[in-house]
Amino acid sequence: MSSITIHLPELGEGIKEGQVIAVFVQPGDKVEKEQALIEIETDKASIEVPSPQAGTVVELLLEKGQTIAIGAPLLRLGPKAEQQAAQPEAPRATAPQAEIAQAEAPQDDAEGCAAVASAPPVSASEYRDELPVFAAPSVRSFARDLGIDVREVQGTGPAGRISVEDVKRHLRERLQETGMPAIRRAETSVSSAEPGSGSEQELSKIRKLTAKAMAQSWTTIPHVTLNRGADVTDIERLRLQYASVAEKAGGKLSLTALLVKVLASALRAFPAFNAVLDLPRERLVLKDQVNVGVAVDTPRGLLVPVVKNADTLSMVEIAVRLSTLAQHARDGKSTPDELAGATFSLTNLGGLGVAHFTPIVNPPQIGILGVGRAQLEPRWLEGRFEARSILPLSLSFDHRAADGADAARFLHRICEALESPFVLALGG
Amino acid sequence: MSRPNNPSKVCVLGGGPAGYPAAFFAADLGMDVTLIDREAAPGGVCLYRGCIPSKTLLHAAKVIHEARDGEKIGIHFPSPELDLEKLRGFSRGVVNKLTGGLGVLAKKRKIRFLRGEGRIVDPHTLQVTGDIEQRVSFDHLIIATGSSPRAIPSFPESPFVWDSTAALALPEIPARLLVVGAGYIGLELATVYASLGSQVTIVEASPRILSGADRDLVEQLEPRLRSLVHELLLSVKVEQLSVHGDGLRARLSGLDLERTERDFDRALVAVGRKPVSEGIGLENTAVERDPQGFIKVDVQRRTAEPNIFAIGDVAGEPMLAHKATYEARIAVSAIAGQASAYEPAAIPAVVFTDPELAWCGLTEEEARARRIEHRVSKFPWAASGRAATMGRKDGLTKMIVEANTGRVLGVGICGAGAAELIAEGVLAVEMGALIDDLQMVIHAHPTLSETMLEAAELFHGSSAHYLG
Repeated sequence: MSSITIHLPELGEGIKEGQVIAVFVQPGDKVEKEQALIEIETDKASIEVPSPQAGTVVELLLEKGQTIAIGAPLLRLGPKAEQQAAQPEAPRATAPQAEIAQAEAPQDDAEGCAAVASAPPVSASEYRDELPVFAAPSVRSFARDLGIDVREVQGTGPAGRISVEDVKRHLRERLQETGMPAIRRAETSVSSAEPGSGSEQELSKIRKLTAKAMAQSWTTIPHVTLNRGADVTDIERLRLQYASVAEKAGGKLSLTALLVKVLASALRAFPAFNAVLDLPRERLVLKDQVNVGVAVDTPRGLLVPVVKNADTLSMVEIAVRLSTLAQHARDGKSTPDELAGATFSLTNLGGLGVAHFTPIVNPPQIGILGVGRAQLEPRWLEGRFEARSILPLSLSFDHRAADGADAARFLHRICEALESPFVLALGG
Repeated sequence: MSRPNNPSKVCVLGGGPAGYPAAFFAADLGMDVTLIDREAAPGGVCLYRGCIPSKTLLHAAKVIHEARDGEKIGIHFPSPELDLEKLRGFSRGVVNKLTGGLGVLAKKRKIRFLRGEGRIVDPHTLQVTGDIEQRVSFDHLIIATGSSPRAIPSFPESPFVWDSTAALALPEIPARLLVVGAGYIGLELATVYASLGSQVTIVEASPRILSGADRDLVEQLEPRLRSLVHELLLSVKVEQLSVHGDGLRARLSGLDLERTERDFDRALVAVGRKPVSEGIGLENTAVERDPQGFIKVDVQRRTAEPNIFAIGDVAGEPMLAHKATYEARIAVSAIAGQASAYEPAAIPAVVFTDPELAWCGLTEEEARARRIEHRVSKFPWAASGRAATMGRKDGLTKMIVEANTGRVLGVGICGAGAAELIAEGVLAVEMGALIDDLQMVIHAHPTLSETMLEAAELFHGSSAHYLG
């Protein structure tokens, strides 16, 4: 039988695996090219995986609920049903399969033929996971004891053979990525120990990821939060005045949009905050792009879509971009790309009445700006008290990467831009 | 021996090459072990009615052949005279020595050995009927009930129609023996009886013998086999077999067959084996079976009933003793809470014909069928110095190598001593050796193992003794 195995394709930068939340096809189903085969929930987005070609589903190689890695086999796809029926079972491997397939596939049906004839010959990667693992039994056992799937390990031996050292390196990398050891020790199940009754809720995928990421952040990053109020009376007036311009372009000129712009330009001026801390290599990696992640409260949990290159966009462009991103996030339609690559984060709880708070840094970023609700406060201006609108700002940062004075200067720059919008116009 | 304290109560049902090692490993981990088998001592089919007695008889066949081959180098022996009783005694003696030894080993490990039939009553209890009727409770059960010869239902039930068990008892040397099936069991027993003097006719329904092995390896074996037996009939079926006087009459069908009706004194049916999974009370558990009757197990050999494991022939193909013993370790490790998994890259398959045939890992035909980009390197034994000293030219050593990495995916050997030689191939495949690794290992001279070295060298063009 001539069939090919469909694998989980690359889904976006940094995505390694996901949970299958829906399977749309069954063995025997005919599928068209680009038809959705499964839906997979990855770190922060759910994605429908399309079929790379038309054919008939021969066998499913996964189940709903399973977590699968990029490159994992999804299903086997055979030629379209008409061809399949016409094809007798191939004799037990006496002649090369390619010849059989070519000889028997009718030449007049272009598409069905393509499915058959294009299968062989395959490249190494397509059968690689069917071969035995390229590692000695002792290495496989070592990996198994550590709970590592040895197939995920990148071998550095001759021709890619996997060694014990490779397994150790893989483990080390994984620990660095997730900071798991500290958390694992802290995580003890309470369900069996805790007396009394109650109801249980399974954690959503996003909740689980948030829990993991926040625990890692809190346990590894020495946080410092600086609080300061910014006088936004004038800029708010301007914002309301020009709201209609953005509205015409399809965006909402919100305070958040404005803050993205202000923050982006401050990051451009303070590249040390638009950076990633690489402690193992003892490096501060300054990022070329200024990508501002904006926390969005959605029914499914906290999502952080990213305004890419925010420093190069106009205020109106940011407003439009942000409206789209937020809508996608709330509808659960964010693409992995929309959620990846932030270099700094912004979180606004002002809408919920909060003043100052202590936001938590989302590693590997080194800072996050929290925004509260603006309040009218008396300010001494030009010889008298005036009622001014003061916006509470809370800047949390990783003290390993920066000092308080640096952060104070950075925050000052943000406040200055909000209080004297001309600073922004100056191109700072 | 230090015995860690492990209070788990483990029951092993079946004392063959799956069951007895499982019991031994479990006992060595300090578990409380009961082993149940219908024989007086552990050993199972392998020792009592399979691998071991067949090898004693094949050894006798080898002695006869070597004596006969002596003529070619100027050593003449008179025609062999057969003392059948003594030969039976030798075979029985070996079996008794080995099974007796296992019994002693079981006792020394403080394993409770119960002779009888076991039947599962519920997922924690076995009913044993035999010498003593009793119920045995367990935390974990390992089912190792093995397999039994597959019969052809249309054939008569007659003392003239043997299965492998009957044939291995060596009841007589029939003048004309029909062997149905040219798998490894059929060929090994055909070799025994032909060597001991029977006129053997092998009938095989498929167009080739040893269908799992690569054709070029089988071709090394076929000429000598054909000269040993009276006839080897391929693509031929036994349509009917009936008792006729004090013998059997067979009606055969096949293309180009001259006589379809033939008389034989005895017939041996060797058309495969089937798992023994009925009558052991699986219906009282959640254990599932596949349509062939094999018990379904996971990678640790755990059945659908979480405390019940199945290993050996009853847990699936290949039905080989060494695979069963390997599974025993996996299952017992799993019971002990260790991370174990059954994931061999190479299981050697060995056929003790003359010449022997052995292979492991991927065969060339499999590689082709699965469209794995590969290259094959072959070294014919005609170019081996050691083979020449033995007066043997027949033989071939081949390697199936992944094309773009040079990784050895499979090894196949046909020739005298292939059964022992394949071990190097198994190690190479399981360790993920590259063809260059094999080439850079010093092989003793003059030995047949050099054929491995030369096959590896040939991968890059030519070897010392063969211009590719």
